[in-house]
Amino acid sequence: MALPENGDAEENGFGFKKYILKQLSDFGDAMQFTGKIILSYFPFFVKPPFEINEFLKQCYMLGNKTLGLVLVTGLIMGMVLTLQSRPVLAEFGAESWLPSMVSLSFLREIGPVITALICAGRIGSGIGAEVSSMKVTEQIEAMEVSATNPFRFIVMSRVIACSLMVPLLVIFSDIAGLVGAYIGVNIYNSMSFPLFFVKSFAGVDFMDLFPAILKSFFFGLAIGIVGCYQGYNAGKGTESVGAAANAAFVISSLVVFFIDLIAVQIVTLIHLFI
Amino acid sequence: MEKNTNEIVIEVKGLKKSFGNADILKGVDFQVRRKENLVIIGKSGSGKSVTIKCIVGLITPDAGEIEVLGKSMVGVSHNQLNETRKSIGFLFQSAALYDSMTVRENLEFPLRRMDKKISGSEIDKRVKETLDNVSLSDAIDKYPSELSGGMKKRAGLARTLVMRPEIMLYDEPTTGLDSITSNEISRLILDLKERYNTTSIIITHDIPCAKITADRVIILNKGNISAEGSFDELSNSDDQLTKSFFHI
Repeated sequence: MALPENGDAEENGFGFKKYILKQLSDFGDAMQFTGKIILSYFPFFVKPPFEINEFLKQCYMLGNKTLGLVLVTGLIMGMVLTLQSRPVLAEFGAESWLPSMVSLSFLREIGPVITALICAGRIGSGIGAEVSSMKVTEQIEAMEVSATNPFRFIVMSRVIACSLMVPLLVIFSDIAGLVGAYIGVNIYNSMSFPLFFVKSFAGVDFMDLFPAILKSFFFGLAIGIVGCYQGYNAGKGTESVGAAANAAFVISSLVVFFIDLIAVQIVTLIHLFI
Repeated sequence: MEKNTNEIVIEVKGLKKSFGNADILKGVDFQVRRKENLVIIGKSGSGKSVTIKCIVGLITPDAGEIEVLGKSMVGVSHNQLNETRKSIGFLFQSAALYDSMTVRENLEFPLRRMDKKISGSEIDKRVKETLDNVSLSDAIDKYPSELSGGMKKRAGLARTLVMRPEIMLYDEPTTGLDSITSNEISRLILDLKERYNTTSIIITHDIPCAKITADRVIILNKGNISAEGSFDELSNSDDQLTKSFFHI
């Protein structure tokens, strides 16, 4: 294999530097976009023009259309978790702890994270594809010419809807997961629903539920921001629609895990002080 | 009252715009008078679309001045820009209809946003009347995906005309259409100029469209205006570059 000429090496070095600068510049743009969204979050509800119709439409589109998928996944995950955990607990004679263990795992971690990942795939990529196709077909520019602020109309309505709908979907997923766990428990044993309910919530307190719902809000916010950023900054060709959808899913999934990691650390610290 | 047709409604002075290392516009100057149809012809990448996007404030120029109806479009606030935009209609190359809305909703969208005081019945009347003027009344409740290319252009045209603009900017209005439909759209542009007394800038590659619609033609080449005159003057020009646009 021929060694690179000096010129090639210099060119490669220059290309790498250019790549790093481009990545830093993109990261800066993404942070600026995120900052703009955070600063516009509360003014969206109090400062005209109010885009309430678009916001409600997005809530319906994002929430209602993802609900079925979230319920089915939650139900299956609840059953699987119960069936997988039962033999281990049975070995130690702690089978009666099964509802409590499953509900705690589901409410604290599995429900929010699984729902957020489904939303990253269903909602995040959907937003990325929709907004990028609006950009490719000049709809965003057309909106600007019509004296409409496209950032407020397109981005803010979707991001806010996403940040409010994901926690709601997590609640539904938790309920479905617990129903799944109840079914799972009753496959090998017999337990009444009231007893299952009491046992499930015996070990659950406010500090298990509140952080989970709060982090779901941030999951939703991140999914909305990443989807809109990818769409809003898509290239001009039609291939950029697919690329934006794909990037929205991959990046928002990663961001969900990062937020989860940070949330776990914060909650652990809080538990230490309470 | 009939407005003065000598009045300059669009004035562009020393317009410059670069993207990265590419100088797209290198100091473009022109004026458009009231009720005039100015056609801008040029090769792809010569800066035609950039010029009209600068005029409407979608792209900020690097240097130069743009005045529309006596108001500057450069270095002004967003509110001032929006105020002037109320007098400008922009037909995008792809018609840019909102996919999630019906034709009726597409027309209502700018009306409701630009005129807060307009009543529901007035909106309904304006929408139906405008669609009738572009022969698209039957498609009022259809979605853009249900329309043909020519119908989309008509709907896009109706969406801009519903605001009763004084100025129309057309970005390649006949691109992607067959010759018969292109001819229909070109005739429609001319017809609407008479009906709504609009002043227009039409960006096109389509020479038959330029022939039908132009009062005056500008040829944009490598970021500068290389020729200017009536369609007949330019089509009979001895200049090789000018000739190349008209004699295929």
